[in-house]
Amino acid sequence: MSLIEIKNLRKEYPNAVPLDNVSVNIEAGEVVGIIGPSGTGKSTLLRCINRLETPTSGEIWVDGVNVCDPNTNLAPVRSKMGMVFQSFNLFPHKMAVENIMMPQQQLLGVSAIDAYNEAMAQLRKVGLENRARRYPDELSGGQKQRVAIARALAMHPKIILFDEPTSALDPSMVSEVLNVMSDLAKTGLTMLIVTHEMRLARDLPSRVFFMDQGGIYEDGTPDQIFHHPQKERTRNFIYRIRSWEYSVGADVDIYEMMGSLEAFCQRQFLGRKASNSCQLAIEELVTGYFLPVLEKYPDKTIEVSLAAGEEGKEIFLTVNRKSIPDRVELFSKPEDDLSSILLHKLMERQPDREEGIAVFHIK
Amino acid sequence: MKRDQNLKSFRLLFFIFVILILSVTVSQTVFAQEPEYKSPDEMGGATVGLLTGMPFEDMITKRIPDIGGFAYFASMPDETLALKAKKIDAIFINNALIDFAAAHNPDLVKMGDHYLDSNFGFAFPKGDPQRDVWGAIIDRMKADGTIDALWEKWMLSDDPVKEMPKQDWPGSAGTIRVACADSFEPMSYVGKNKEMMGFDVEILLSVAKELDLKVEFTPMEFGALMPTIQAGKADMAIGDIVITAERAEIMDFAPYAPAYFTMLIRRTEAAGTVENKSFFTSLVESFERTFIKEDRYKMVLSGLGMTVLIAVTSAGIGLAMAYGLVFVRRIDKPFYNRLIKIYTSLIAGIPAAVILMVLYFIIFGSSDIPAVIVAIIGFALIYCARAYGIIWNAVISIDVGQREAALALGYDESLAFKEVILPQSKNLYRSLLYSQFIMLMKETSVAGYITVLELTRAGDLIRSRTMEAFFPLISIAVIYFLLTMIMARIFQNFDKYLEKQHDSHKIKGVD
Repeated sequence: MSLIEIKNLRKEYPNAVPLDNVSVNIEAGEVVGIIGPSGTGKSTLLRCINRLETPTSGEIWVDGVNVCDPNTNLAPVRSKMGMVFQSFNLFPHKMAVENIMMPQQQLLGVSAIDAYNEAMAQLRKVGLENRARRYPDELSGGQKQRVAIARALAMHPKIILFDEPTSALDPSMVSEVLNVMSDLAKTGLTMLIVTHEMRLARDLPSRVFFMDQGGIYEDGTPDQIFHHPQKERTRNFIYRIRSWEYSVGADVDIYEMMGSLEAFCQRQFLGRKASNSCQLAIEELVTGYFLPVLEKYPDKTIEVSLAAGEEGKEIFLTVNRKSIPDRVELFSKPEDDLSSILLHKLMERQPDREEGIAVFHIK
Repeated sequence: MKRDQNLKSFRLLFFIFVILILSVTVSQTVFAQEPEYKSPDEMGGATVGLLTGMPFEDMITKRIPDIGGFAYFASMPDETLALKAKKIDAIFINNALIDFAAAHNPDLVKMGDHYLDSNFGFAFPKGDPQRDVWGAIIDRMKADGTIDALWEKWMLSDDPVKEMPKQDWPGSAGTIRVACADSFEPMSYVGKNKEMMGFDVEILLSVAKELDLKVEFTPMEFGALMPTIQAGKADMAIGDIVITAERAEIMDFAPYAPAYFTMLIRRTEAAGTVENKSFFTSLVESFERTFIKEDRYKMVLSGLGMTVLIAVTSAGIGLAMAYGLVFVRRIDKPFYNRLIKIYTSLIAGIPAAVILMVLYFIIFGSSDIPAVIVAIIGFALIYCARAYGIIWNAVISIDVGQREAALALGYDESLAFKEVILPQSKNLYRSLLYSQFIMLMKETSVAGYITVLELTRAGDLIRSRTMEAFFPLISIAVIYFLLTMIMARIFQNFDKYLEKQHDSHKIKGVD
């Protein structure tokens, strides 16, 4: 028998059916990444497994117990199943170490001293031994999430459910949580991770669920899902999360555009230098070249897109100027123009793929 | 910081000082000469003060058709105060009280005409055979001059210290419970050491001695006498009760002395007769009258003790009950929710005094529970309803993620509530509970309605003896103020202690 067996699971809300007839088995030791567009029931699936949500119908067997049976005593099942929340949910009135001691003492009947030693051991694992006596409001977001992971671990669970563990974190704090999780993945613990974070979905899991259309739309290895998706929706999704697109018109909101570009660069872990280059190049192109042209064609747009390769090593900028009349040369400026020199330094033009689409390689 | 506190206490002292000066200045007696009204015919437009429970408006209106109106008071001293402060123009009351008030207030005078010639009487439940037993003994005492001698002693004697007989008989015939008005000097009032004194009381004790009955007094406001008898909480009522047709319909009376009603009015102020006492002398005299004479400070202290006792016990019980309700509410059963809702809206919608009276006279009407206990129950119910609302509001404002985190760790709902949700909400509701407690402490001043002798009532009783209102009232105000300040300080220190606990970063069971 598998550790988690889900049979014909259905979850209805008054205005949506995020899960419709989902059946899947998860084996002990598997690390499952769960990705997909928003509203496709990723979190709902996780929350059904430990019954924070009550499914409309179907069965979920966890370690041989059907958690959907109304007669099941949920507390013991849940204590075998840790959960890490997007918003951490540490108990704010208790210090970090007490957050970890409390459930051990109150649920497992461990003495204060033993609970303390266990808590300190877990804090050591997540690198927060010296923050043990801080209250949650004295910790950074990343530290809070690591304490939350330590709190789950101290209950010695067989499974840990991660519900978007890095989404509420400042980008600079994502790595510390990722590192802790990646250490955990190596210990053979069963982990289910709902995430929007590329590295988390791609590098840690042994298996990835792409969720869409009311269920697990594609189920495969990270390599299959991210590099050779079998189904069209998966392909579109993967392409979308790995590329940035913007439609520039005469009335473009430069700040909004740069903001979304910056967020994309951070998501892709482009590194400071590469993301600076991208932002500089796009800002220079739009303000220096596109806007003067677009002022003459107020109803036209130019599509700009950025696609990152593996680990952000290769970045291609694509400019689609098909809607602009042929005779207008987009990139015509004297060789010694300052912005022209700058752009030459930042990127290199590749042979056009087709008429009207220019491709640049960002250096 | 230290200087700040000094400044604060200085300001407070200054404040009290100013109030004292005011009180003494205002209460300086003004001598006067001519009565304001020569006859009832001059009283058109005058406002007449009545005691609550005295239905004499028709009688007065018949005699003075153009009377200005009526005002109602709970006690004679309140009325006297109002008359002196010119809030009313006359007091309509019986001869005993008028003679006594006029003797103690040179600026007040009795009018000549009589209304309703009747008798003072002891009240018994309708049809009680005891009335005849008492009536026979009283008739004999009338005949042999005992009652006249007592009237002499209480009404006319100048002796300021009047002794009461002690209850030194065995009491083999049992105990009689007597409801007695507590602020009608010289008829029935609370004297030294909270002993019941007065003309009525001494007659009562003489009869009780002859019947070998022990007497158990329950002092209360005049207006509470009849309901107390009707609720069966006392076997008889005494205290300046004049027999009237209406009262005779619901009670049986044993008459013991002639009574009639008339008006007490002011004398007109006359120039040059202002008594020139020095400020300091007045202050000392007022203080002496209010606190020292007859050890009245003891009454204030015991009233203060009673106020604190009722407030603290009822808040304690109420808080425990409120936690209970919060736990019931968490289970979220519609039936219980509705019960809680009904209870809290009832308490919120009814004044404290009414709640207490309903409890005392109706719900516990037939039981022998002491009034203090009823007051504690009443205020516990009041505090519980408010504390419940405060705590529940704090609880539901805790982020839902806290509950989910606890459940995900393996807590069940009730343990999660007890260990995770409730402790967090404490910081949100604690200060609100403090202020509710302070409010409750002040509200206990209405416990006097059900015969409890707390601080406000103690002040009333002192006023009924000194016939002076300002100094006792201001003193009681200052005592309440200091009491609430001390309580606020205690809460502040408790908060500091908690903060220190929180900041000590100590772990229970480890450090």
